Amino acid sequence: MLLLFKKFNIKEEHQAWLFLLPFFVLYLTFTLYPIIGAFLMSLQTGTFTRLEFTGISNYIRLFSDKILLQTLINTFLFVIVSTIVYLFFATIFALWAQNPSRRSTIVRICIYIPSILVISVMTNIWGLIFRPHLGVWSYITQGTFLADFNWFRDPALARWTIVLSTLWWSVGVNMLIIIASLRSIPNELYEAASLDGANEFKQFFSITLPNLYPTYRTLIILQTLASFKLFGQPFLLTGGGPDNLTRSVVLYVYDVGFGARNPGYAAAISVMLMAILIIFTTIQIKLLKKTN
Amino acid sequence: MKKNLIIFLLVLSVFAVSCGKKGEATSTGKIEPLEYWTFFSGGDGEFMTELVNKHNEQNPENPVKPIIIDWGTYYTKLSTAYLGGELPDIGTAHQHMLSSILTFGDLIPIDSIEPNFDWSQYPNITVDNITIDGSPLAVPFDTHGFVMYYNTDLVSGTSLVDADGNWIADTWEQFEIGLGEVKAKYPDVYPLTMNNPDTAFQWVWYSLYNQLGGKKLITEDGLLEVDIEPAKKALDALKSVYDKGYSPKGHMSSLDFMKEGKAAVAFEGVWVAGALRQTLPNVKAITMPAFFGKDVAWGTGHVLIIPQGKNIDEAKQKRAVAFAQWMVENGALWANAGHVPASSVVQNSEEYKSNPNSVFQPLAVNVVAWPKSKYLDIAIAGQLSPLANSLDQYLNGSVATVEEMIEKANEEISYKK
Repeated sequence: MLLLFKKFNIKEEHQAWLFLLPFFVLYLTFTLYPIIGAFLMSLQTGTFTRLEFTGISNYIRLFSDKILLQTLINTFLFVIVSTIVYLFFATIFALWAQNPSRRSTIVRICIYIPSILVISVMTNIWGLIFRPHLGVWSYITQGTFLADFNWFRDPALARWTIVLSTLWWSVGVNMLIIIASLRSIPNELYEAASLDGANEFKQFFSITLPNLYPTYRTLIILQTLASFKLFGQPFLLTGGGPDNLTRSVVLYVYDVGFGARNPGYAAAISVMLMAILIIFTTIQIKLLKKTN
Repeated sequence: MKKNLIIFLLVLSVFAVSCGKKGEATSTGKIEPLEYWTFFSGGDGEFMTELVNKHNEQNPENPVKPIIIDWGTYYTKLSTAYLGGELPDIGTAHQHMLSSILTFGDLIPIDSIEPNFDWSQYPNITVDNITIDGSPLAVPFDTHGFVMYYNTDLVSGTSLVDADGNWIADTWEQFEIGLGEVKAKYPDVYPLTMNNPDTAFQWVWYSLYNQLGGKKLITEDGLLEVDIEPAKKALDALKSVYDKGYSPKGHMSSLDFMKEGKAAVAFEGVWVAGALRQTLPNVKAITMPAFFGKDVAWGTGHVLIIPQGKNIDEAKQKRAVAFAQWMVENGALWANAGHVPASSVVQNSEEYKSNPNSVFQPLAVNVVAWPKSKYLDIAIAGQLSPLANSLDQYLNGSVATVEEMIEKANEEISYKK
């Protein structure tokens, strides 16, 4: 490549742009162009092949859509609950499996393996476990009131089914990142603390947790962004029900766009979600920096 | 340098060929196969592959290449195919989805391609169901709908059947009494099973609603409007079965309940007939009894459509209609999948009459189709339609009256449309 640059006499500062070109081509084609396309589509109404420009009418509709409000509440609840639950369990598992012993290795593998599954496989597994009347859960708990739990349709349980299945699926990755972070904490700190008489509990809150903070900051942002994009789990497990209680914003976009074939309005919801994500992440970064 | 240039030109030529327009004649003179999109997999898929292979053997001058697309995303892919202009030459669709497909793009009326197409081979109702604004937009291939299956061992000795195992409970009242007898006899068995919450449940309700003389369902604005009395009576009948514990709530496993002998009667589609008979030899299938007087049940049909793309290839369109016509004429083989062949000629053939699935033949004329509306379909598998969602809410008590139920469904329709 460098030989080619020399041959065509390309200046060094221009060479950098040539190296960046493949990224920019992909970014413009698959990110920027669809974003601009979605924004333009959000100003139109009609079906995919017959769209008409109607200005901001789709954005005005956003304010009176009760289902959208419900999906926003669902998504925010999922973001908050899932982030707290996943980081809590990832930390517990990381502390449990951080030692380089054989037992810890087995624990690490067992917890990490679900993360390599594709979402359809993951949801199928949980579908079989919680299948009403005929699933593994019903079989194990038969004869008790627990057997009657309808994990996908009961308004009190359906949201937790989504959280639980996602926890099983994604906690492994978070655990590994936290383990890596735990191992980078200097041992001297713990030695000094135990010489000063600090017990394990005190050591955890005074040494481990503060040292994990930068990792948590990254994980919280990543987990939040991932949770906002919740789609596959409710799509494949609950269909967004019961009564829209598990319908996420992204699932609603898909439903409006492809189910009701109203791409303009679906695009307006997507643009709104993008704005929420930008605002949310900016606030989050600022707050986390402040607390640091 | 010369070597590099050759490699560059080769890559460029491969790229140019791959970007070439679909449908261009091949240089070898070989006839390009028609691209045929289907969503049939599993048992149905095997019969479809057999049919297409048979067609290709008998008609080498009109080869067809089937492309199987997962049913759950079929209509989504069709809509994006319209957007991208990369449409199949011919495709399968459901009759009740035709109105929705028209929101993606145009369909070519069959008589504009083949003015002499023989419509007399179909019952009138079949032709009516594929006609929109006076144009027949598809070639009807089959009729399928909801029927009833029962396990002869589990219902024997009850008032549901006679001594020979023939169904005799013809009113809903008798039906409920019989279900109670099954429950008393086999406490661990559910007397009835039906998938709910599911779009299929709205079809069961719609069958009973029509048996009760219900007519209205949708307004011109795409909003729901039902005849309250039959709507309520049909829903209360189904609710009563749930409330008495005769049917398991909240599941999509009717077929498995029957297969495992955990349910005695099922309202299910004709398409499960083969699978049920394979695992449950003592199962009997009949069309839905006229519980409320009128002998009708919900049904739809598989049809063959010719999407209107940007490029018009009249020769291919004619080949597509010829292929569709061949498929219709050979529909007796398709009956193995449970479906009723659309053509009356095939329905009257000895080959079809000897098929055990010919018990479903009355469905071809007693069918009540879904209204032609883009708002009541099931474009995305697994997603509840507004009506199915609101029916479930009535059953679980979230809404108290049918009026409230319809209001809630209309609210959802209004937000999305």
